Amino acid sequence: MREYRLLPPESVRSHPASYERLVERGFERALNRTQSLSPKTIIQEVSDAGILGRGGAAFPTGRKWASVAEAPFRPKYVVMNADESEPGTFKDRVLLMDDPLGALTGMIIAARAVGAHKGYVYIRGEYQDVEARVAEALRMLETRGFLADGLTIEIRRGAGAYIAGEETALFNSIEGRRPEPRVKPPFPTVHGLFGKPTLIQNVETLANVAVLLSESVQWFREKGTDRTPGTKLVCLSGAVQNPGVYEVAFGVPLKEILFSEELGGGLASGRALRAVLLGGAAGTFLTPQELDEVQYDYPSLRSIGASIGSGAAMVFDDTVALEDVLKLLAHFFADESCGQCVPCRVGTRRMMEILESPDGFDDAERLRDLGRAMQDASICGLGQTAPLALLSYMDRPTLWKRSAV
Amino acid sequence: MRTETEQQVRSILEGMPRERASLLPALWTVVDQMGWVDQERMEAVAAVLNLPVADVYGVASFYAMLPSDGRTQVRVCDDVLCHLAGSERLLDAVRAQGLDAVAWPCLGRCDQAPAALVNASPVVRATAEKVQRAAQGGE
Repeated sequence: MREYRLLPPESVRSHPASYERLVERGFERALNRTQSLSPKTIIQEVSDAGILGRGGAAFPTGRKWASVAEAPFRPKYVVMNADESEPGTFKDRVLLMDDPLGALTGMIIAARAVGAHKGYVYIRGEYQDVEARVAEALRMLETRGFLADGLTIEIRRGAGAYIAGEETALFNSIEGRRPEPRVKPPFPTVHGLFGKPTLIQNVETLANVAVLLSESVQWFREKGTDRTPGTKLVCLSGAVQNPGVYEVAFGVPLKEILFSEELGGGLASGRALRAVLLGGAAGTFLTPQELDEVQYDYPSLRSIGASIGSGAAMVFDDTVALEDVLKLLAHFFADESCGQCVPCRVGTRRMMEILESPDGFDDAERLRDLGRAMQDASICGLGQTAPLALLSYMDRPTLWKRSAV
Repeated sequence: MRTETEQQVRSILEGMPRERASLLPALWTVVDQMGWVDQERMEAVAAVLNLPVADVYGVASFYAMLPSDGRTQVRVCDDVLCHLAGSERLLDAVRAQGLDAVAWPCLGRCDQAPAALVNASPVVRATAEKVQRAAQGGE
Protein backbone atom coordinates (compact mmCIF):
# COMPACT_ATOMS: atom_id res chain seq x y z
CA MET A 1 0.00 0.00 0.00
CA ARG A 2 2.73 2.45 0.93
CA GLU A 3 4.90 3.41 -2.02
CA TYR A 4 8.42 4.81 -2.16
CA ARG A 5 9.18 6.67 -5.33
CA LEU A 6 9.11 10.37 -4.58
CA LEU A 7 9.93 9.74 -0.94
CA PRO A 8 13.08 7.69 -0.35
CA PRO A 9 12.66 4.35 1.42
CA GLU A 10 14.18 3.99 4.88
CA SER A 11 17.09 2.03 3.45
CA VAL A 12 18.36 5.23 1.83
CA ARG A 13 20.73 6.64 4.43
CA SER A 14 22.90 9.12 2.55
CA HIS A 15 22.65 12.80 3.41
CA PRO A 16 19.65 14.25 1.51
CA ALA A 17 21.68 17.02 -0.16
CA SER A 18 24.76 14.95 -1.00
CA TYR A 19 26.19 13.68 -4.27
CA GLU A 20 25.89 10.15 -2.86
CA ARG A 21 22.15 10.70 -2.59
CA LEU A 22 21.99 11.96 -6.17
CA VAL A 23 23.57 8.71 -7.32
CA GLU A 24 21.66 6.46 -4.92
CA ARG A 25 18.29 7.81 -6.04
CA GLY A 26 19.09 7.54 -9.74
CA PHE A 27 18.90 11.30 -10.30
CA GLU A 28 22.44 11.49 -11.66
CA ARG A 29 21.38 8.95 -14.26
CA ALA A 30 18.35 11.09 -15.12
CA LEU A 31 20.50 14.21 -15.49
CA ASN A 32 23.10 12.48 -17.64
CA ARG A 33 20.51 10.75 -19.77
CA THR A 34 18.53 13.91 -20.50
CA GLN A 35 21.73 15.72 -21.54
CA SER A 36 21.84 13.44 -24.57
CA LEU A 37 18.11 13.66 -25.33
CA SER A 38 16.56 16.40 -27.45
CA PRO A 39 14.11 18.72 -25.69
CA LYS A 40 11.39 17.27 -27.89
CA THR A 41 12.13 13.73 -26.74
CA ILE A 42 12.11 14.77 -23.07
CA ILE A 43 8.74 16.46 -23.47
CA GLN A 44 7.41 13.40 -25.29
CA GLU A 45 8.43 11.16 -22.37
CA VAL A 46 6.80 13.48 -19.84
CA SER A 47 3.62 13.48 -21.96
CA ASP A 48 3.64 9.72 -22.44
CA ALA A 49 4.09 9.15 -18.72
CA GLY A 50 0.82 11.02 -18.16
CA ILE A 51 2.05 13.15 -15.27
CA LEU A 52 -0.59 15.58 -14.04
CA GLY A 53 0.41 18.68 -12.09
CA ARG A 54 0.49 18.00 -8.35
CA GLY A 55 -0.13 21.51 -7.06
CA GLY A 56 -3.90 21.11 -7.20
CA ALA A 57 -5.05 21.82 -10.74
CA ALA A 58 -3.91 18.47 -12.23
CA PHE A 59 -3.04 20.01 -15.59
CA PRO A 60 -1.16 17.63 -17.94
CA THR A 61 2.53 18.40 -17.37
CA GLY A 62 3.72 17.43 -20.84
CA ARG A 63 1.23 19.76 -22.49
CA LYS A 64 2.39 22.63 -20.29
CA TRP A 65 6.03 21.98 -21.19
CA ALA A 66 5.22 21.84 -24.90
CA SER A 67 3.38 25.13 -24.66
CA VAL A 68 6.35 26.89 -23.03
CA ALA A 69 8.81 25.27 -25.45
CA GLU A 70 6.77 26.43 -28.45
CA ALA A 71 6.25 29.99 -27.19
CA PRO A 72 8.17 32.31 -29.52
CA PHE A 73 9.51 34.80 -26.96
CA ARG A 74 12.78 34.79 -25.02
CA PRO A 75 14.19 34.50 -22.46
CA LYS A 76 12.16 31.75 -20.83
CA TYR A 77 11.96 30.97 -17.15
CA VAL A 78 11.33 27.94 -15.01
CA VAL A 79 9.93 28.31 -11.50
CA MET A 80 9.52 25.77 -8.72
CA ASN A 81 6.54 26.70 -6.59
CA ALA A 82 7.42 25.75 -3.01
CA ASP A 83 5.24 28.43 -1.46
CA GLU A 84 3.20 25.78 0.27
CA SER A 85 0.92 27.30 2.84
CA GLU A 86 -2.62 26.30 3.56
CA PRO A 87 -4.37 24.35 6.29
CA GLY A 88 -3.80 20.62 5.89
CA THR A 89 -1.09 20.79 3.23
CA PHE A 90 2.54 20.06 4.10
CA LYS A 91 3.84 17.52 1.56
CA ASP A 92 6.32 19.83 -0.19
CA ARG A 93 8.01 20.59 3.12
CA VAL A 94 8.54 16.88 3.80
CA LEU A 95 9.57 16.13 0.21
CA LEU A 96 12.14 18.95 0.10
CA MET A 97 13.55 18.09 3.53
CA ASP A 98 13.80 14.36 2.85
CA ASP A 99 14.84 14.42 -0.80
CA PRO A 100 15.53 17.91 -2.18
CA LEU A 101 17.54 16.58 -5.12
CA GLY A 102 14.49 15.03 -6.78
CA ALA A 103 12.61 18.27 -7.35
CA LEU A 104 15.82 20.11 -8.27
CA THR A 105 16.71 17.41 -10.78
CA GLY A 106 13.23 17.72 -12.30
CA MET A 107 13.73 21.46 -12.50
CA ILE A 108 17.06 21.19 -14.32
CA ILE A 109 15.49 18.76 -16.80
CA ALA A 110 12.50 21.08 -17.23
CA ALA A 111 14.78 24.02 -17.98
CA ARG A 112 16.54 22.04 -20.69
CA ALA A 113 13.24 20.85 -22.17
CA VAL A 114 11.64 24.29 -22.48
CA GLY A 115 14.83 26.24 -23.21
CA ALA A 116 15.10 28.25 -19.99
CA HIS A 117 18.45 29.46 -18.63
CA LYS A 118 17.19 31.01 -15.44
CA GLY A 119 15.21 29.32 -12.70
CA TYR A 120 13.69 30.37 -9.40
CA VAL A 121 12.78 28.24 -6.41
CA TYR A 122 10.19 30.17 -4.42
CA ILE A 123 9.94 28.94 -0.82
CA ARG A 124 7.69 30.41 1.84
CA GLY A 125 9.40 32.39 4.60
CA GLU A 126 8.00 30.07 7.27
CA TYR A 127 10.08 27.22 5.79
CA GLN A 128 13.60 28.56 6.35
CA ASP A 129 14.76 25.15 7.53
CA VAL A 130 13.60 23.78 4.19
CA GLU A 131 15.23 26.66 2.35
CA ALA A 132 18.58 25.86 3.95
CA ARG A 133 18.30 22.23 2.84
CA VAL A 134 17.42 23.21 -0.73
CA ALA A 135 20.27 25.73 -0.82
CA GLU A 136 22.71 23.03 0.28
CA ALA A 137 21.45 20.64 -2.42
CA LEU A 138 21.63 23.37 -5.06
CA ARG A 139 25.24 24.24 -4.11
CA MET A 140 26.22 20.62 -4.50
CA LEU A 141 24.62 20.45 -7.97
CA GLU A 142 26.37 23.67 -8.99
CA THR A 143 29.75 22.58 -7.69
CA ARG A 144 29.50 19.26 -9.51
CA GLY A 145 28.56 20.96 -12.77
CA PHE A 146 25.03 19.62 -13.12
CA LEU A 147 23.62 23.04 -14.01
CA ALA A 148 24.53 22.75 -17.67
CA ASP A 149 24.06 25.18 -20.58
CA GLY A 150 24.54 28.31 -18.44
CA LEU A 151 21.53 27.58 -16.27
CA THR A 152 21.37 29.51 -13.00
CA ILE A 153 18.87 28.80 -10.24
CA GLU A 154 18.06 31.35 -7.57
CA ILE A 155 16.19 30.70 -4.34
CA ARG A 156 13.56 33.28 -3.44
CA ARG A 157 12.12 33.48 0.08
CA GLY A 158 8.48 34.46 0.56
CA ALA A 159 7.51 36.60 3.51
CA GLY A 160 4.22 35.47 4.94
CA ALA A 161 1.64 35.92 2.20
CA TYR A 162 -0.43 32.87 1.31
CA ILE A 163 -1.58 34.51 -1.92
CA ALA A 164 2.01 34.57 -3.22
CA GLY A 165 1.59 30.85 -3.92
CA GLU A 166 -0.89 31.69 -6.70
CA GLU A 167 1.29 31.44 -9.78
CA THR A 168 0.86 34.94 -11.18
CA ALA A 169 1.08 36.51 -7.71
CA LEU A 170 4.32 34.58 -7.29
CA PHE A 171 5.67 36.19 -10.47
CA ASN A 172 4.81 39.62 -9.09
CA SER A 173 6.60 38.72 -5.86
CA ILE A 174 9.77 37.75 -7.73
CA GLU A 175 9.51 40.93 -9.81
CA GLY A 176 9.52 43.01 -6.62
CA ARG A 177 5.85 43.96 -6.78
CA ARG A 178 3.01 43.31 -4.39
CA PRO A 179 2.06 39.65 -4.78
CA GLU A 180 -1.39 40.25 -6.21
CA PRO A 181 -2.65 37.78 -8.81
CA ARG A 182 -2.93 38.81 -12.44
CA VAL A 183 -5.94 38.22 -14.67
CA LYS A 184 -5.61 35.08 -16.78
CA PRO A 185 -5.37 34.75 -19.75
CA PRO A 186 -2.68 35.41 -20.83
CA PHE A 187 -1.34 32.27 -19.20
CA PRO A 188 2.15 31.92 -17.73
CA THR A 189 3.24 29.59 -20.54
CA VAL A 190 3.27 32.58 -22.90
CA HIS A 191 3.24 35.61 -20.59
CA GLY A 192 4.63 34.76 -17.17
CA LEU A 193 7.57 36.00 -15.14
CA PHE A 194 8.79 39.39 -16.46
CA GLY A 195 6.16 38.96 -19.20
CA LYS A 196 8.07 36.02 -20.69
CA PRO A 197 7.10 32.37 -21.28
CA THR A 198 7.39 30.65 -17.93
CA LEU A 199 7.10 27.08 -16.76
CA ILE A 200 5.89 27.07 -13.18
CA GLN A 201 5.47 23.73 -11.44
CA ASN A 202 4.77 22.42 -8.00
CA VAL A 203 7.62 20.70 -6.10
CA GLU A 204 5.99 17.28 -6.30
CA THR A 205 5.42 17.52 -10.05
CA LEU A 206 9.13 18.15 -10.62
CA ALA A 207 10.05 15.25 -8.34
CA ASN A 208 7.88 13.03 -10.52
CA VAL A 209 9.82 14.16 -13.57
CA ALA A 210 13.06 13.17 -11.87
CA VAL A 211 11.92 9.65 -11.00
CA LEU A 212 10.38 9.20 -14.44
CA LEU A 213 13.56 10.14 -16.31
CA SER A 214 15.76 8.06 -14.05
CA GLU A 215 13.68 5.05 -15.13
CA SER A 216 11.26 4.85 -18.07
CA VAL A 217 7.73 5.65 -19.14
CA GLN A 218 6.77 2.00 -18.83
CA TRP A 219 8.14 1.81 -15.30
CA PHE A 220 6.39 5.04 -14.36
CA ARG A 221 3.01 3.77 -15.54
CA GLU A 222 3.26 0.54 -13.55
CA LYS A 223 1.79 2.35 -10.56
CA GLY A 224 -1.48 4.21 -10.48
CA THR A 225 -4.32 4.00 -12.95
CA ASP A 226 -4.33 4.17 -16.72
CA ARG A 227 -5.72 7.70 -16.71
CA THR A 228 -3.67 8.87 -13.72
CA PRO A 229 -0.38 7.00 -13.68
CA GLY A 230 2.07 7.24 -10.82
CA THR A 231 1.93 7.99 -7.15
CA LYS A 232 0.69 10.86 -4.99
CA LEU A 233 1.83 12.32 -1.71
CA VAL A 234 -1.01 12.51 0.76
CA CYS A 235 -0.92 14.85 3.77
CA LEU A 236 -2.80 13.08 6.53
CA SER A 237 -3.68 15.18 9.54
CA GLY A 238 -6.18 15.32 12.35
CA ALA A 239 -7.78 12.39 14.15
CA VAL A 240 -5.70 9.53 12.75
CA GLN A 241 -3.14 7.52 14.72
CA ASN A 242 -0.26 8.39 12.39
CA PRO A 243 -0.53 11.84 10.86
CA GLY A 244 2.12 12.52 8.24
CA VAL A 245 2.97 12.45 4.56
CA TYR A 246 2.45 9.14 2.75
CA GLU A 247 2.99 8.12 -0.83
CA VAL A 248 0.28 5.98 -2.44
CA ALA A 249 -0.55 4.86 -5.97
CA PHE A 250 -3.46 6.64 -7.62
CA GLY A 251 -6.58 4.51 -7.46
CA VAL A 252 -6.19 2.97 -4.00
CA PRO A 253 -9.37 2.93 -1.91
CA LEU A 254 -9.49 6.23 -0.04
CA LYS A 255 -10.54 4.44 3.11
CA GLU A 256 -7.29 2.47 3.12
CA ILE A 257 -5.26 5.66 3.34
CA LEU A 258 -6.92 6.44 6.64
CA PHE A 259 -7.15 2.97 8.08
CA SER A 260 -4.26 0.90 6.74
CA GLU A 261 -1.74 0.06 9.46
CA GLU A 262 1.21 1.31 7.41
CA LEU A 263 -0.58 4.58 6.61
CA GLY A 264 -3.03 6.47 8.84
CA GLY A 265 -3.52 3.57 11.21
CA GLY A 266 -7.17 4.35 11.88
CA LEU A 267 -8.69 6.81 14.24
CA ALA A 268 -7.09 7.71 17.51
CA SER A 269 -8.64 6.51 20.75
CA GLY A 270 -11.48 4.51 19.19
CA ARG A 271 -13.49 7.55 18.15
CA ALA A 272 -16.01 7.52 15.32
CA LEU A 273 -15.29 9.28 12.03
CA ARG A 274 -17.31 12.40 11.35
CA ALA A 275 -15.85 13.63 8.06
CA VAL A 276 -12.75 14.01 5.93
CA LEU A 277 -11.92 17.34 4.34
CA LEU A 278 -10.24 16.23 1.13
CA GLY A 279 -8.10 18.40 -1.13
CA GLY A 280 -7.15 21.29 1.15
CA ALA A 281 -8.70 24.33 2.75
CA ALA A 282 -10.82 24.72 -0.39
CA GLY A 283 -11.56 21.00 -0.51
CA THR A 284 -14.66 18.87 -0.10
CA PHE A 285 -16.10 17.38 3.07
CA LEU A 286 -16.76 13.68 2.62
CA THR A 287 -19.12 11.64 4.78
CA PRO A 288 -17.95 8.30 6.22
CA GLN A 289 -20.19 6.57 3.69
CA GLU A 290 -18.66 8.41 0.73
CA LEU A 291 -15.24 7.58 2.07
CA ASP A 292 -16.08 3.88 1.83
CA GLU A 293 -17.11 4.13 -1.80
CA VAL A 294 -14.34 6.00 -3.59
CA GLN A 295 -10.85 5.46 -4.89
CA TYR A 296 -8.09 8.03 -4.64
CA ASP A 297 -8.25 9.07 -8.28
CA TYR A 298 -9.77 11.97 -10.21
CA PRO A 299 -12.66 10.21 -12.00
CA SER A 300 -13.83 8.37 -8.88
CA LEU A 301 -13.66 11.47 -6.70
CA ARG A 302 -15.34 13.58 -9.36
CA SER A 303 -18.39 11.34 -9.11
CA ILE A 304 -18.98 12.68 -5.60
CA GLY A 305 -17.94 16.23 -6.38
CA ALA A 306 -14.50 15.97 -4.79
CA SER A 307 -10.92 16.21 -5.99
CA ILE A 308 -7.41 15.36 -4.88
CA GLY A 309 -6.39 19.00 -4.75
CA SER A 310 -3.09 19.46 -3.02
CA GLY A 311 -3.20 15.98 -1.50
CA ALA A 312 -4.54 17.07 1.87
CA ALA A 313 -6.81 14.80 3.90
CA MET A 314 -7.90 16.34 7.19
CA VAL A 315 -9.65 13.81 9.37
CA PHE A 316 -12.26 14.87 11.91
CA ASP A 317 -13.76 12.58 14.53
CA ASP A 318 -17.05 12.93 16.36
CA THR A 319 -15.60 15.30 18.97
CA VAL A 320 -15.24 17.99 16.31
CA ALA A 321 -18.08 20.24 15.17
CA LEU A 322 -17.57 20.89 11.47
CA GLU A 323 -19.21 24.28 11.94
CA ASP A 324 -16.17 25.29 13.98
CA VAL A 325 -13.86 24.02 11.26
CA LEU A 326 -15.77 26.05 8.67
CA LYS A 327 -15.46 29.18 10.77
CA LEU A 328 -11.70 28.66 11.01
CA LEU A 329 -11.45 28.15 7.25
CA ALA A 330 -13.54 31.26 6.62
CA HIS A 331 -11.21 33.18 8.91
CA PHE A 332 -8.20 31.87 7.01
CA PHE A 333 -9.52 33.00 3.63
CA ALA A 334 -10.67 36.39 4.91
CA ASP A 335 -7.21 36.87 6.39
CA GLU A 336 -5.35 35.80 3.26
CA SER A 337 -7.47 37.52 0.60
CA CYS A 338 -5.14 40.05 -1.01
CA GLY A 339 -7.94 42.60 -1.28
CA GLN A 340 -7.46 43.31 -4.95
CA CYS A 341 -10.90 42.23 -6.21
CA VAL A 342 -14.25 42.88 -4.57
CA PRO A 343 -15.89 39.42 -4.77
CA CYS A 344 -13.03 37.93 -2.78
CA ARG A 345 -12.17 40.84 -0.48
CA VAL A 346 -15.77 41.44 0.56
CA GLY A 347 -17.02 37.90 -0.03
CA THR A 348 -14.55 36.15 2.27
CA ARG A 349 -15.30 38.66 5.00
CA ARG A 350 -19.09 38.40 4.66
CA MET A 351 -18.82 34.64 4.68
CA MET A 352 -16.89 34.73 7.92
CA GLU A 353 -19.35 37.18 9.48
CA ILE A 354 -22.39 35.15 8.48
CA LEU A 355 -20.89 31.92 9.81
CA GLU A 356 -19.96 33.57 13.09
CA SER A 357 -23.40 35.12 13.60
CA PRO A 358 -26.03 33.21 15.59
CA ASP A 359 -27.91 30.80 13.30
CA GLY A 360 -25.69 31.95 10.44
CA PHE A 361 -25.53 28.43 9.04
CA ASP A 362 -29.32 28.50 8.59
CA ASP A 363 -29.02 31.32 6.08
CA ALA A 364 -28.47 28.83 3.29
CA GLU A 365 -29.79 30.89 0.41
CA ARG A 366 -27.58 33.86 1.22
CA LEU A 367 -24.51 31.67 1.70
CA ARG A 368 -25.09 29.94 -1.64
CA ASP A 369 -25.61 33.26 -3.43
CA LEU A 370 -22.45 34.63 -1.92
CA GLY A 371 -20.53 31.48 -2.77
CA ARG A 372 -21.68 31.60 -6.39
CA ALA A 373 -20.72 35.25 -6.76
CA MET A 374 -17.25 34.53 -5.39
CA GLN A 375 -16.79 31.51 -7.65
CA ASP A 376 -17.93 33.40 -10.75
CA ALA A 377 -16.31 36.77 -10.28
CA SER A 378 -13.07 36.47 -8.28
CA ILE A 379 -9.82 37.08 -10.16
CA CYS A 380 -7.93 34.07 -8.85
CA GLY A 381 -8.30 30.66 -7.35
CA LEU A 382 -8.38 31.91 -3.77
CA GLY A 383 -11.72 33.69 -4.07
CA GLN A 384 -13.07 31.21 -6.59
CA THR A 385 -12.52 28.25 -4.31
CA ALA A 386 -12.89 29.77 -0.85
CA PRO A 387 -16.60 28.77 -0.61
CA LEU A 388 -16.09 25.16 -1.76
CA ALA A 389 -15.71 23.46 1.62
CA LEU A 390 -18.77 25.28 2.96
CA LEU A 391 -20.87 24.41 -0.09
CA SER A 392 -19.84 20.75 0.16
CA TYR A 393 -20.93 20.74 3.80
CA MET A 394 -24.25 22.36 2.93
CA ASP A 395 -24.85 19.64 0.35
CA ARG A 396 -24.41 16.91 2.98
CA PRO A 397 -27.09 17.22 5.68
CA THR A 398 -25.76 14.21 7.59
CA LEU A 399 -22.72 16.30 8.50
CA TRP A 400 -24.76 19.05 10.12
CA LYS A 401 -24.58 19.48 13.81
CA ARG A 402 -28.34 19.39 14.31
CA SER A 403 -28.59 15.98 12.73
CA ALA A 404 -25.53 14.68 14.54
CA VAL A 405 -26.88 15.58 17.98
CA MET B 1 24.30 63.40 2.15
CA ARG B 2 23.93 59.78 3.06
CA THR B 3 22.68 58.84 6.47
CA GLU B 4 24.51 56.27 8.51
CA THR B 5 21.63 53.84 7.97
CA GLU B 6 21.82 54.26 4.24
CA GLN B 7 25.56 53.64 4.21
CA GLN B 8 25.07 50.51 6.27
CA VAL B 9 22.28 49.23 4.01
CA ARG B 10 24.33 50.12 0.94
CA SER B 11 27.22 48.03 2.16
CA ILE B 12 25.15 44.94 2.99
CA LEU B 13 23.36 45.12 -0.38
CA GLU B 14 26.68 45.42 -2.21
CA GLY B 15 26.63 43.38 -5.38
CA MET B 16 22.87 42.99 -5.53
CA PRO B 17 21.48 44.06 -8.92
CA ARG B 18 19.92 47.53 -8.69
CA GLU B 19 16.54 46.57 -10.02
CA ARG B 20 13.02 46.17 -8.82
CA ALA B 21 13.30 42.35 -8.79
CA SER B 22 15.90 42.67 -6.02
CA LEU B 23 13.41 44.27 -3.65
CA LEU B 24 12.21 41.30 -1.64
CA PRO B 25 15.68 39.70 -1.35
CA ALA B 26 17.00 43.14 -0.32
CA LEU B 27 14.40 43.47 2.42
CA TRP B 28 15.22 39.97 3.67
CA THR B 29 18.95 40.69 3.57
CA VAL B 30 18.37 43.75 5.76
CA VAL B 31 16.32 41.64 8.17
CA ASP B 32 18.88 38.82 8.22
CA GLN B 33 21.86 41.13 8.80
CA MET B 34 20.36 43.99 10.79
CA GLY B 35 17.48 42.25 12.57
CA TRP B 36 14.51 44.15 11.20
CA VAL B 37 13.37 46.59 8.54
CA ASP B 38 11.73 49.83 9.72
CA GLN B 39 10.75 53.01 7.88
CA GLU B 40 14.27 54.42 7.85
CA ARG B 41 15.74 51.21 6.49
CA MET B 42 13.01 51.00 3.84
CA GLU B 43 14.02 54.48 2.72
CA ALA B 44 17.61 53.32 2.55
CA VAL B 45 16.64 50.25 0.48
CA ALA B 46 14.69 52.56 -1.85
CA ALA B 47 17.75 54.79 -2.28
CA VAL B 48 20.10 51.88 -2.91
CA LEU B 49 17.81 50.16 -5.44
CA ASN B 50 16.72 53.44 -7.04
CA LEU B 51 13.04 52.86 -6.30
CA PRO B 52 10.36 55.21 -4.98
CA VAL B 53 10.00 54.90 -1.20
CA ALA B 54 6.25 54.43 -1.69
CA ASP B 55 6.85 51.32 -3.80
CA VAL B 56 9.20 49.83 -1.22
CA TYR B 57 6.71 50.53 1.53
CA GLY B 58 3.83 49.20 -0.59
CA VAL B 59 5.62 45.90 -1.09
CA ALA B 60 7.14 45.55 2.38
CA SER B 61 3.85 46.25 4.12
CA PHE B 62 2.07 43.56 2.09
CA TYR B 63 4.16 40.85 3.72
CA ALA B 64 3.33 39.87 7.25
CA MET B 65 6.67 38.28 8.08
CA LEU B 66 9.13 41.14 7.79
CA PRO B 67 9.77 42.35 11.35
CA SER B 68 9.71 46.11 11.94
CA ASP B 69 11.52 45.92 15.28
CA GLY B 70 14.00 43.75 17.09
CA ARG B 71 11.67 41.78 19.33
CA THR B 72 11.78 37.98 19.23
CA GLN B 73 9.15 36.93 16.71
CA VAL B 74 6.89 34.29 18.20
CA ARG B 75 4.15 32.98 15.94
CA VAL B 76 1.61 30.40 17.04
CA CYS B 77 -0.35 28.69 14.27
CA ASP B 78 -4.09 29.09 14.80
CA ASP B 79 -5.41 27.29 11.75
CA VAL B 80 -7.69 24.27 11.71
CA LEU B 81 -5.51 21.42 12.93
CA CYS B 82 -3.47 23.46 15.39
CA HIS B 83 -6.64 25.06 16.69
CA LEU B 84 -8.13 21.63 17.35
CA ALA B 85 -4.87 20.68 19.06
CA GLY B 86 -5.22 23.55 21.53
CA SER B 87 -3.44 26.50 19.90
CA GLU B 88 -5.62 29.04 21.73
CA ARG B 89 -4.49 27.74 25.11
CA LEU B 90 -0.92 27.57 23.85
CA LEU B 91 -1.02 31.19 22.71
CA ASP B 92 -2.36 32.29 26.11
CA ALA B 93 0.29 30.26 27.93
CA VAL B 94 3.08 31.66 25.77
CA ARG B 95 1.88 35.19 26.40
CA ALA B 96 1.60 34.49 30.12
CA GLN B 97 5.34 33.80 30.05
CA GLY B 98 5.91 37.32 28.85
CA LEU B 99 6.53 36.57 25.19
CA ASP B 100 4.94 38.85 22.65
CA ALA B 101 3.34 36.10 20.57
CA VAL B 102 0.92 36.48 17.69
CA ALA B 103 -1.56 34.06 16.10
CA TRP B 104 -0.39 33.06 12.62
CA PRO B 105 -1.99 31.39 9.61
CA CYS B 106 -1.11 27.77 8.79
CA LEU B 107 2.58 27.02 9.32
CA GLY B 108 2.41 23.83 7.25
CA ARG B 109 3.12 21.49 10.15
CA CYS B 110 -0.40 20.14 10.66
CA ASP B 111 0.95 16.62 11.23
CA GLN B 112 2.79 17.84 14.33
CA ALA B 113 0.16 20.20 15.73
CA PRO B 114 0.19 22.54 17.49
CA ALA B 115 3.02 24.35 15.74
CA ALA B 116 4.84 27.59 16.44
CA LEU B 117 7.65 29.54 14.86
CA VAL B 118 10.23 31.37 16.97
CA ASN B 119 12.04 33.74 14.64
CA ALA B 120 12.92 31.26 11.86
CA SER B 121 12.88 28.11 14.01
CA PRO B 122 9.87 25.81 13.93
CA VAL B 123 8.59 24.35 17.21
CA VAL B 124 6.38 21.30 16.69
CA ARG B 125 4.02 19.58 19.13
CA ALA B 126 4.56 22.87 20.83
CA THR B 127 4.15 23.61 24.51
CA ALA B 128 4.71 26.94 26.22
CA GLU B 129 7.93 25.51 27.66
CA LYS B 130 9.27 24.43 24.27
CA VAL B 131 8.46 27.84 22.81
CA GLN B 132 10.16 29.56 25.75
CA ARG B 133 13.27 27.42 25.30
CA ALA B 134 13.41 28.23 21.58
CA ALA B 135 13.01 31.94 22.34
CA GLN B 136 15.85 31.85 24.89
CA GLY B 137 18.07 29.80 22.61
CA GLY B 138 17.57 32.32 19.84
CA GLU B 139 18.77 35.30 21.84
